[in-house]
Amino acid sequence: MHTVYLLITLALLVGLLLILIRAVQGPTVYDRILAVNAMGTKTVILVTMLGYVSGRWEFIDMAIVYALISFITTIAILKYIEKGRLD
Amino acid sequence: MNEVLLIDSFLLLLVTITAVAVVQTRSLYAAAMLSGIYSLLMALVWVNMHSMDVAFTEAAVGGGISTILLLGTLVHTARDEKPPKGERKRRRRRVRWGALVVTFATGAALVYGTLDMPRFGDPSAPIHHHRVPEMMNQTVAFTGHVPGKQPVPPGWTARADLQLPPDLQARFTGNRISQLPIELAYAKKKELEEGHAPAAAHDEGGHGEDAGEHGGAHAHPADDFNGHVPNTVTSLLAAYRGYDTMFETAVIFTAGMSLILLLRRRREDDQGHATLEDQVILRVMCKLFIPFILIFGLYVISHGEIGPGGGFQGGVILATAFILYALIFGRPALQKITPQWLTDALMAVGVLIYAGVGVTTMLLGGKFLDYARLNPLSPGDGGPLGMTLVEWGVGITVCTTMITIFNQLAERESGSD
Repeated sequence: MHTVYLLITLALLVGLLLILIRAVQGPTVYDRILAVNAMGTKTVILVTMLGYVSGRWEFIDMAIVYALISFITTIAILKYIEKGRLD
Repeated sequence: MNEVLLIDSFLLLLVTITAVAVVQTRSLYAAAMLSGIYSLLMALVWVNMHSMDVAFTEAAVGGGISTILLLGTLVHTARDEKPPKGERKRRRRRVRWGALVVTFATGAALVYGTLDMPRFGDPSAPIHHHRVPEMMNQTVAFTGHVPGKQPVPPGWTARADLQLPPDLQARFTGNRISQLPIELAYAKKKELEEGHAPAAAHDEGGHGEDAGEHGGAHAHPADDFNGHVPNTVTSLLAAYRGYDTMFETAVIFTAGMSLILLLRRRREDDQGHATLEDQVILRVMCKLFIPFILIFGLYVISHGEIGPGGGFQGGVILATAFILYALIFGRPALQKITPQWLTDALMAVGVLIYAGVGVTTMLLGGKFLDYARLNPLSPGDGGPLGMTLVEWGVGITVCTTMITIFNQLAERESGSD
């Protein structure tokens, strides 16, 4: 792996760590929700990065799955908090 | 230090932090959210190890649907975990030494066990010498009109002592197949039509016996994938471990059935529902997103034999689209487009498709799930056909079961608030 890519990956990982600290500490539930959301975005970028570095197209599929699905979880959490029910 | 190892260690650190946080927190929906993050991080670990199918499953199931189902469980229980008896007053948590010792002993035993395993990516690991060369010699399917599954790794040579049937050996030149299977198939067809070869030979040869003698055009070794598709993982799941996957599908079907028996009320009395229809952004986004999610789910199911993914992952992605619809427009709206009788029936239909493919191959004279029988003239094409059918069965069952589970969990019990 090229040094530049390794550095980018490590930067993203440090970002993940910071988000994770917010998710674990998160005084309010909204901190946690934002953390989950940001985590999904970071994951999409990281997967695409790793795919670009290793030159495999399947990684894009993975990134699409995240992009499509991770926000549905957020909607479900928000609905549960606001309405107290999912149906 | 190896980059993959470096990234892996960092990710594992994050995973450990998340796991500890999930156990520590008393708020159950915080735990649900953190378990979603846990799945995202685990999927990154799999991605980093290039095991795309596992990462796909983790992303679709762990990152998406399991958090929603956990929230559905919370609807039936409470938001916060009750403190254990007797610890309500006390601030300090008591350390249970016995449990601690057992846990550490188990952990130490597991770590000790891994010391004997080959290192990650070690080229001299037994798997690279025992099974993989044989499997790579068996591939018939195409990538970009080139026979042979994938380029042979640099520096890799076929083992001289590898035992292959003589006619199969002749088809390999430099680890590639000398003749396209489709050409072989047409040659065989012509041969049959012109009556040069006795018709009986076609039925007897090849698959009938396990003696190792393989005649005819559809020769493949007795101990093989039983179908050859570019994605080795799908080959393993749908053919090599075909029975296993079939019963996994049956397990999912059983889970859906159990939930119906446990939670479904006999009478659908109107309990009211909550929609998010008044949220303009959500409503428009949902309408824009659902077609893409559905198309992507169908793509994942039907391309399972070429790329990562397959029935399980695609089915879950499809179900997520329906669940999104229910979240925004309310469950009655979902019931209108997927009525209960339909999801109930399709749950069984998926398993039936899987088993039906097996029975069909038996009726065609092969063994149960012997996909090559589906296209006797070119077994290399029968494999992908059978596996696609099977993946569709799995996808239908998984999708409808997930919708059913969501329906049962999201539905409030009468009497509860």
